[in-house]
Amino acid sequence: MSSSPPLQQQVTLLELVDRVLNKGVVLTGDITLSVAGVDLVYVGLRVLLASVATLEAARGEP
Amino acid sequence: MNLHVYALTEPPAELPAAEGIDGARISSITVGEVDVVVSENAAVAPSEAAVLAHARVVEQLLERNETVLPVRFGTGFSDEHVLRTQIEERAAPFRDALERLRGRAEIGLRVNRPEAGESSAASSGTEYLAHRLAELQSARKLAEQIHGPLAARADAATENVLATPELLLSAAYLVAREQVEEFRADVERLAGEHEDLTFVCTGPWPPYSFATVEAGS
Repeated sequence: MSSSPPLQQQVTLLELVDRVLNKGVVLTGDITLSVAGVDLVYVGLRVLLASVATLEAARGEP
Repeated sequence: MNLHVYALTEPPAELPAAEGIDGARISSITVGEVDVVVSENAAVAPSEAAVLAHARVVEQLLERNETVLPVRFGTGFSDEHVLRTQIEERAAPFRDALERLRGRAEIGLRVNRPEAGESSAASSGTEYLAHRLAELQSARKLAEQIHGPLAARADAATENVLATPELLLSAAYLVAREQVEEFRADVERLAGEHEDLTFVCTGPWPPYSFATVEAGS
């Protein structure tokens, strides 16, 4: 494969946020977080800038 | 009270060891033929920690259950009764979706091409548009050389060509879990055939991109 580890990790983080926020079944809850477009981008960028260690720690916990 | 929903599974749901958002305990509520995996939270802010906690719970559900229907982050119910009503209204589509996703996971693929250089200055708007169209058509052909064989091997696939000028292909593939390694090997092989392109393959994911369910009857 052609991607180096840091790129792989960055993309994985981006893809994780994209999936959790933009994909998955939409249920019509009565308390739905109003994550408007701007908020989504904000959250996405924040997570993208988070350290890889944070992601690995979060995903590696039993 | 806020019941935050992570995913739907088949009863009996095998719950993850991990905590939910803000350290809340994960539990499940059986509604007919579906188990709804939830946690009780005071209020959920769309923070990095909450998003990662949500993702972690769904991922662990995939490890422990045959079929998982991921729910988008941000859905909450003020009480169980409202939740039950919502789920019951779409009972059949949810059951069908869980069946369709049984034993499956999702593989993500992004293929980047080197930044396309500026073409020689077009002398007219028409020429520019013609050039852009030709570029798009050639990109689609190239993307299809990669996406085509992979989609043929998958149960389902999504495809996005040239979402940005560098992102030749952005795709997701629904694949049986025991075929994930073989699928990744296919991706590796295609990467070898296109060494000027950068392939980034991610997953296996819970099948977020294939969690489409019709509206209730």
